[in-house]
Amino acid sequence: MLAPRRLLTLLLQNPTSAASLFLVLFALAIAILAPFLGLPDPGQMAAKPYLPPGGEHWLGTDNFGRDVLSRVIWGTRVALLVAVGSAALSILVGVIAGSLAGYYGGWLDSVLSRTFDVFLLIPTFFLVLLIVALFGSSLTLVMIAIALTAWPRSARIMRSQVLSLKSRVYVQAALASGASSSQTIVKHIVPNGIGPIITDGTILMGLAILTEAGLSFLGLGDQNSVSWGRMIFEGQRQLRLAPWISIAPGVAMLILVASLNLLGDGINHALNPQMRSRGGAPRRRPTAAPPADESPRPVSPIIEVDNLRLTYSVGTRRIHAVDGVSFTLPRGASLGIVGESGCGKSSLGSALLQTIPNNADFTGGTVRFDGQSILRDGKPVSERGRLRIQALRWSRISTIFQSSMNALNPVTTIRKQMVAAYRLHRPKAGDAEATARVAEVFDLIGIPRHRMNAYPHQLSGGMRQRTMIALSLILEPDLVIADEPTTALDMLIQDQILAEIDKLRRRLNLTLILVSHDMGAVAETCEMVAVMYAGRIVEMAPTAVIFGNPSHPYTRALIDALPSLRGPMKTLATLPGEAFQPTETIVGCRFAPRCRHATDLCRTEAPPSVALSSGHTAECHYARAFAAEPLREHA
Amino acid sequence: MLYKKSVLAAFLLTWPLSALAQTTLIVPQLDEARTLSPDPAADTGGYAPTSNIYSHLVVMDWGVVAGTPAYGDLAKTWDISPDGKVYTFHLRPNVKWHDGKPLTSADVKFTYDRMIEKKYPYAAFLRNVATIETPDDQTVVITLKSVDMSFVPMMAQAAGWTGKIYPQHLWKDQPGFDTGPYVNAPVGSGPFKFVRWDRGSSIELAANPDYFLGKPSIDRLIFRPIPDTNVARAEFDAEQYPHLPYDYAPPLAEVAALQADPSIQVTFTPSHYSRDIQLNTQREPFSNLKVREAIAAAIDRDAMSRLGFAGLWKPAIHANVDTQKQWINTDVRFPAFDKKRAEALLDEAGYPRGANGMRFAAKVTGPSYSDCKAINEVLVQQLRDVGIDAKLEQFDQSTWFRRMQEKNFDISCYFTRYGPDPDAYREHFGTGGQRNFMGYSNPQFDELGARAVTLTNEADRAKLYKEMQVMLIRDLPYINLFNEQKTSLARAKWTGFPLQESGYDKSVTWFGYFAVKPPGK
Amino acid sequence: MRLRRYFIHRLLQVLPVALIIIVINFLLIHLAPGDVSILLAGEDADPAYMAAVRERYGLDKSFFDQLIAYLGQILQGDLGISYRTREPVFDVLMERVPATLLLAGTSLVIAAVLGTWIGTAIARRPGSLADTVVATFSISLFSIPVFWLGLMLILFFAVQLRWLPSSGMISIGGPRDGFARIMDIVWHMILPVAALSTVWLGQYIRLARTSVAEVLSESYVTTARSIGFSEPYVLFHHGLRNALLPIVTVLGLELGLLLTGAVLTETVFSWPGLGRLIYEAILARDTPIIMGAFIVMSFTVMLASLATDIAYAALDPRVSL
Repeated sequence: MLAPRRLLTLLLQNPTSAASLFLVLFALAIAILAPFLGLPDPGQMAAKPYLPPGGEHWLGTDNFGRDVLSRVIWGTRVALLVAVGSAALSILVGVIAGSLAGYYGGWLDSVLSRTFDVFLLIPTFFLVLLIVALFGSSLTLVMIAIALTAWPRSARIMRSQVLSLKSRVYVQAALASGASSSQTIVKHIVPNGIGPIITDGTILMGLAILTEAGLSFLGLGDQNSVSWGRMIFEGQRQLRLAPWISIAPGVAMLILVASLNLLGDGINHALNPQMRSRGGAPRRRPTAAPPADESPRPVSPIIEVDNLRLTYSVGTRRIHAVDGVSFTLPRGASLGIVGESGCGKSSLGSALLQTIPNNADFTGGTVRFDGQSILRDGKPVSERGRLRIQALRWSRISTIFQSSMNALNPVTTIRKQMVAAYRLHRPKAGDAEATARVAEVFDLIGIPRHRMNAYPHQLSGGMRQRTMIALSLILEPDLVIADEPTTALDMLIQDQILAEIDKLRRRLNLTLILVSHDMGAVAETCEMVAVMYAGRIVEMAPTAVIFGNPSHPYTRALIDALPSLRGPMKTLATLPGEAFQPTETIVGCRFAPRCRHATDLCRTEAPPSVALSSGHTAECHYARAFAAEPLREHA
Repeated sequence: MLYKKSVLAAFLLTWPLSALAQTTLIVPQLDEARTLSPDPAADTGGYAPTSNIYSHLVVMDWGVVAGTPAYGDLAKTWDISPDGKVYTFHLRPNVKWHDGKPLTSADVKFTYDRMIEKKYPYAAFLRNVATIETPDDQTVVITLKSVDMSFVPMMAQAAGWTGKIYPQHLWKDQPGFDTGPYVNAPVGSGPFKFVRWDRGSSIELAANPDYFLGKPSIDRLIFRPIPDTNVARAEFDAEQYPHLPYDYAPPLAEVAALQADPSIQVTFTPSHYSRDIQLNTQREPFSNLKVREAIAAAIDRDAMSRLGFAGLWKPAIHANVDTQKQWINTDVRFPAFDKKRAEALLDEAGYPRGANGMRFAAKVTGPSYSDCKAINEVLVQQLRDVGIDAKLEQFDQSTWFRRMQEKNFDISCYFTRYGPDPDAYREHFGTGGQRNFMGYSNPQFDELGARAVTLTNEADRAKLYKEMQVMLIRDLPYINLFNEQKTSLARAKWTGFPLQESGYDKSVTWFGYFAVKPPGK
Repeated sequence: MRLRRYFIHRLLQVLPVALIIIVINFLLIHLAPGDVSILLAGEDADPAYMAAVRERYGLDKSFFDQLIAYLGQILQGDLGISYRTREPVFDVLMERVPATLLLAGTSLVIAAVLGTWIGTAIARRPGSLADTVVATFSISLFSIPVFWLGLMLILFFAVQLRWLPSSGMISIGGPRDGFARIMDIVWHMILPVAALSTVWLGQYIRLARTSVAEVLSESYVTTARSIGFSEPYVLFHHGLRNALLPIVTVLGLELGLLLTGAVLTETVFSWPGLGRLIYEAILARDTPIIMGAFIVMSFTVMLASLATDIAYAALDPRVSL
């Protein structure tokens, strides 16, 4: 729960929320001040009937010669009274019921939750209508009827709030210190859980106003109060003659209800800022033309990455997730990229495919694929209006995602998804041909063919991961980027899958980039290993060299953390501090704060890239010293 | 069937030309009929169609407002014996039922006997009947138990609702008027014959060429249930029908614009009812005459008419309405609007203004007629102006009526009846009168009323009724406000609609369309 | 088979709700001021009819017996007798259902298709200016009191411009059958459908936008993009296809709200459907009709939620049945 002051600041920053807050407060003010505004009495029939707006009566007069402006303003009172009354009542009941259900659980919870569910299915307006029709109409009754149908809304929210708060430390602490249950609920749970209820409350208020107006419009409103709904109801008959009688209260209602809803929306967004910017289509980015001097070389590395930079913007913070990465990979090679989560390894993977999120930007760097520039000085290269990467996607560069993360569309069969991918890039291929190809890759991976008609959720985790691999291979790509392909699978399956990938790579002469946090997995599968830390490759070497002569203290820490050559990496218990987020301008070595061996030099001067042996570089002032000191053999 | 449909379709397509021989009149009505047998029970949706199918012994239409309390329908004339007890009705000769059989005095006696036997609603108007005799086919002799000058007018008024004459030859084998094949396929003797009934959509009648008053000008008469005022109005505007009955009256403020339209006739029809307020004389503080006088003085009828009726309703200041010319006592009038006097009276009565400026609370209620609602809205304001803390308390019609019967009200808008016979006073103001909700009880008044109904001389009767009016204005159990007035619309040059003067005494009941003539006929 | 078992399972969950709705109804009549038999038979009912009603509802029996009798009757589809027309309430209601279905269905389709389309389109640019504008706009749309919007449409298009009819469903004396009649109805439908779908449109824009944006942040969308599918393909085949499920669910749940709008719209436009019937019943205090309408509406919402669940199960292979 945000502090009220902070919430207010956030609301005022958003022009829509600020405007709606202002309008709600304005309505509140005129409702309270109505008797002191020097308006004619809303019931007084002193003026000429049917006066159009203007002159002494700004909004005209009605069929009884009553001042419409005055009636609209007095109507604000009724509207807000109904809104606040029914919302407060339903929140009160809802908070009590929801707290009880969430706090005590058990049969009480199941009875109350069922009740909430039942109420969700009752068309509330008709229940209110029936109540008012049977019991007679007065404002109080209308409010009670609305609250009676609306309280389960608040109760449901409160219940889930209580459920999530119950386990919180301070609640447990309060209970442990001997506070009674009711004290704990009132003192700790309600104040902390009420945020979303207040949000919903504004929406409830809008709903209450519309409900009261609807009842009044059906002739079931309170007869002795000036409500907007009743004004519209009565104005309806005069529509041809004096439309202003019904226009004014409607506009007032629209403004107040919309303000309440927008305010609720604004509070909601202020409380959950990530909600508004989730998802979305990739935005267009500035593109670059291919370099003029580009000429395909006969034998070029499959991929060359030079000083690649990728920056995320989160609020006002900027995080350099990839901060100057360079490497080159020959055709048929296999490179493992390892590092803790947050080091930028996955960002590097998506940067290569140019599928980066909208809040990320290339801030520099060049990527060439098979001799062709696909990223130039931080801009995607486009040729004849089409991005070069678009032509390469899947047919030449594909990825294997971690399948446990819904990497396959859950609502279509695997065959359909694979056929669609195949036909996208082989437009001439028919359905039969595509299906035949799917069968082929299934055979290749060793999945029974009939499984292709299954939905993703019908497969086991390992099978699903294999399917993902099959999907990545369907168009015979040159480069496969595998992003954590075995995470969340059990050990045995992990091994099988990694072996599978390795076998296929050799057989199909693929180039593989394996992104993983698992040193062991990489060791088994890849010829080369790049260790990433805080957006940079701090050490890169052939696998044997990395494990034999790790020359960066971070690499050494990673290897130390391995219980054996296999198995998932645990937290780097040997390393003090947290993984470093490269946000501010870095002085010195970015690993220095966590490095046991750091010296003053490390803290003041960025380390150079030290070339140690063929294909082995490390970014450490003392790389040579480390290189000279082999790690003791593991496993 | 198919033929009928195609005729109708052809007609509908070419209707605006109206050059065709066939003339159809579509009449919208608020309620759908429950049955087409009108006598056994009240049925607002059934009155109009059945009044055009069946005939009556005597009848009344809107001509009542011009001084015709009753005229003959099947009865051409009637004589009253000098002692006022024996009524001899002479029926028109050669009247035929729609199936061609002759209509005789036996049919009338059969119908009335059965009504009395079955206690059908009309029996209430025959309660004073001692014997019904039929000396010949053309004569009905009714002997009353006691002299009752309101007998024929009341019989004529109620005939429009539940007093139709049924053919004996078709109904004698049925146990009641509510069973058998003719309930919804009526055979009458009126100006129109029943054709068909599409439930929920239309009741279709065709002109009776053998009608005893001549063939009507309308060839086809169709009643459509249109429960919605807006729809009816829109359809009238779209010239789907030439007549908009008063049930669908537009807001009176629109009348000026409508009157300016040469293609529309706006008809105002007065009635023998008033709009007034009843005061509960058995409840504090309305039991106090001073309070009632104060309320009467607090009411500004002109402002009320201006605000509620665009100035188009005529205030009623006597204890009667303008249409009952010969019965009005113009020498006495209700207290005139005088706010100061009202306040003074209330102070005198012991109800000074309190801290909030109010003296006492009063609930204002009324039937769900739009005119009463308008009156009440203004009334509440006018009462508040003199310090009576008045509040609206609107109920649905039947709840309101029950509360009135239970005398559970303070002030209520009401519709007092003064015709077709002034004996109506007893019903409204006599001790224990059926519609005396005010709890007014005045033995002198009762005595005058009982005597007046037995006097055969009109001038003698009028004297007594005028005396009774003096008492009413003195005691103020009610306060008369307006002459009721109906507003209806018709397309130009159409004549003979029941609310138009050209339809008076010719329409045959309030709902009769016999006299309607389209332009050029 | 799979679906049938699921259906029966869900039906069993819904039945208690039906029971509770009927009990609520029963309690309300008995708690309401005034005599139950008068409420059910009408004030001006004749003694014979009143007696029949007492007999029918067992009003002289114990409270509990009455409840059982009432439950039994409702479950047999017997909702009592309208005291205005003396016809069975169920028949009276059913007579009005087609008109309501026509109006609400058309508006729903228009609002859902248009709203989902706009919402999907805007989901591509979350947080953008267009997104903010559309979000504000859609919230404003469902803040409009629908009956007022209806009046304004009548004022503008029927009273001022005289382009469209303001009320009713057919022209009196209009064409009775064939294409001309259909056109006549369409003509009358334009304004009420415009009012109703405008108010609903906001809901759908909002719903589609949230759901599609949610789906677009899923991994399989990244997969699709990596495969090289065009953005519109991704948006509609993956985004919308998956977002339809939550959209349909919310639809089922909010049907009650939609019916409210329909009732008020019918009142304004004198559309001869259930809503108008309820309005007429309120005016005439025809309690059996009002109660019957509540039960029918509740059951409709309940069945709709059941239907959406089933549809969900049929659409989404993940739902374990």
